[in-house]
Amino acid sequence: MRLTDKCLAAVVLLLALAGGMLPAWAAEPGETVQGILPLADRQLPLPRGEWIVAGMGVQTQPQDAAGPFGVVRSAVLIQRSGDRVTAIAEFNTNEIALSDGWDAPHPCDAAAADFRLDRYHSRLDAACVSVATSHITGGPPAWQQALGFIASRHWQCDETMLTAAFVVSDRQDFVDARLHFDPAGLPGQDDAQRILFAWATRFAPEFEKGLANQLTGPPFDGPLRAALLSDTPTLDSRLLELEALQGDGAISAADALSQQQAAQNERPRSAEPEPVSVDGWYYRLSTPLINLVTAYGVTQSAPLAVAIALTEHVAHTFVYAATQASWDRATGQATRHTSAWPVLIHIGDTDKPAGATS
Amino acid sequence: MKSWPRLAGLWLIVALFAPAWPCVAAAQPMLLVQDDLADLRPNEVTGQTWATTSRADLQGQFCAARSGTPTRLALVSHALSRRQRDDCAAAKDGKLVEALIGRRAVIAMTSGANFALTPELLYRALVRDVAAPDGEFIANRVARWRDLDASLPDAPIRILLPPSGSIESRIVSDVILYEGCAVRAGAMLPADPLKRMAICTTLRTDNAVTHAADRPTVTAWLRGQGNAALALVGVAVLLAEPDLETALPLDGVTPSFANIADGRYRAALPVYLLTVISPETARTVAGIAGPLLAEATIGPLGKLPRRGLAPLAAADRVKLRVSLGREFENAAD
Repeated sequence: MRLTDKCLAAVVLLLALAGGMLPAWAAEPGETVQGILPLADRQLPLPRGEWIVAGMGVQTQPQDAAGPFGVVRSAVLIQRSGDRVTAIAEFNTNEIALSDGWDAPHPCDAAAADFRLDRYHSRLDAACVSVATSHITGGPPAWQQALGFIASRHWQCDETMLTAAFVVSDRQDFVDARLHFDPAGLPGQDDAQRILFAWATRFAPEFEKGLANQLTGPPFDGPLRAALLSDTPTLDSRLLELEALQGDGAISAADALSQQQAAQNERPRSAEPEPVSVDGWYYRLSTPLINLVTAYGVTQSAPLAVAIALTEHVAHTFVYAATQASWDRATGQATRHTSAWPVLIHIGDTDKPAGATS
Repeated sequence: MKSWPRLAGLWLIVALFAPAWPCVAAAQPMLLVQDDLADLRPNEVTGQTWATTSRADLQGQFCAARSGTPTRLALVSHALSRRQRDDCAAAKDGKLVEALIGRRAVIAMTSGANFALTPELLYRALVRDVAAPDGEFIANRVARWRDLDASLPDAPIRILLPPSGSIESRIVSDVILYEGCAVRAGAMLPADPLKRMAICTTLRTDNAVTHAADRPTVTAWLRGQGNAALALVGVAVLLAEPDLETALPLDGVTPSFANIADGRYRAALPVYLLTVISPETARTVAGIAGPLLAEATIGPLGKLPRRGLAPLAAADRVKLRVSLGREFENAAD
């Protein structure tokens, strides 16, 4: 190796080491990004296309509500066509990771039930998606900054937009994201909401990957284009990955096929109610019947037997409900987290008090 | 004259090996692809040479192949009729398999305008001669979308057609225009199928219609033509140009992969893999068909969609691989 090559290698090594010590890159207003916005050491997914950073800020919390997560970092990005703002991305995420999760997350509670999906919801994590119409008025400091950015360039922004809202939280972090789309670029209202909701449910896993800094693939297409392409993008990738593992010899052909079949049934289910099994129905019906027959056998009186069976059933129901409630209360107390879910202000939240300055 | 010993040697070799020729020839697999499906380039997937054959000849060639041919596969855009299937299977010493691997489709894209299309509207916008009220066919002079229907944009008709000779071009003629023509001018059409086809599918040549041959990109063409311009494109173009976003529904059905796969979207033709599986050929056929049916080939992220194949639904792709895998295993056992 010549001397110049050694010098070059040393410089590259020093730069690499210095890069590792530098704080994570943070976007500045006016910059353009594609695919991923880095914010608070997390990756936030963006639909395909060029997005302009229009506002960055923080949302501090009321003193009695704040957990040890520092602040909530906010970013607002816009997409435009000519002088018209066609989409707005609004992101909120915690600065410092927690150790013990968030107390009582309340995802998606404001949206119409027809366009809401709780992907999963437990005491430790939650993920949900909803779609609703938003009025693009007031908002957090990052949005106030974005409004100035838009006005200074004489761009037009519709006052009413269709919004896909996403909430993802785990024991350490949360991401609260809203993607607002200009309805002029979408089909009629009902179709638009349906298309946007279908798209949002497919886009939602990207936030989970981003929370784990695992966004690697190409950007996700926007709602209109995605509605034309495969409606199972996650499954498609999984099938391809399994086939690649088979090609590498890591799994057998039979295993690959079996896992491909299993992949079709995989979905987060913790938000779904438990189905009542046949055993449950048998238990519910057979117990009162047995009680009735036994009571009749002892008393030889139908009215008395019915009264005894009914009394037993009502008493049993009350005892069961009380036991269940006390059990829920006990487990709730035992697994309660100390950090309250942050109070967030979104674009269009004109009635909430404004957060702190950016 | 001194070359006669060499000629004699050559003759001897030919004479000795002549009886083995049919075996050597029979060892060559017969791989056929219909001419307008050749853009799927199956040879690049399987590593074997696929002969391009016209649609009219393909099924005949496939079914007329010698019974000693160890491997036969074909890519076609039409299912065999019951009679063809029976004839073909009887001649083959094996089980004839006809597997749907995807579809080819035509999608109407705009640069943002949304309006409802039907085959009849497209027929009236595209065809050279239209039926007058007296039953005569006269030159089509419709210039604006609004002239066709009051609900359509008040903008000039500008339509970009798929390249001539492509399967997308055939879908425009055989599916969209023919169906629109039957709806619009059914009673006035001649009984002769050839004349009928000519009247229904001969395109106008004025500036309302452009062929896609030399255009840089469809996106650029659409942007240059105004908001209501329409490009009839295939899946390959849709996937190659990420800025194409707005697709118009046909008869109220959005041209999504899901709607194309389940047959609800009608401007599409199926793509079948034909093969014959017997105990002797099962392993060889599996060796060629395997890569062709792989997720990396026919899945939405695979090679063939980028060349124009609209993929099957995920469940159907897995089912296809499982069922054909079983066929190969059973035959080999």
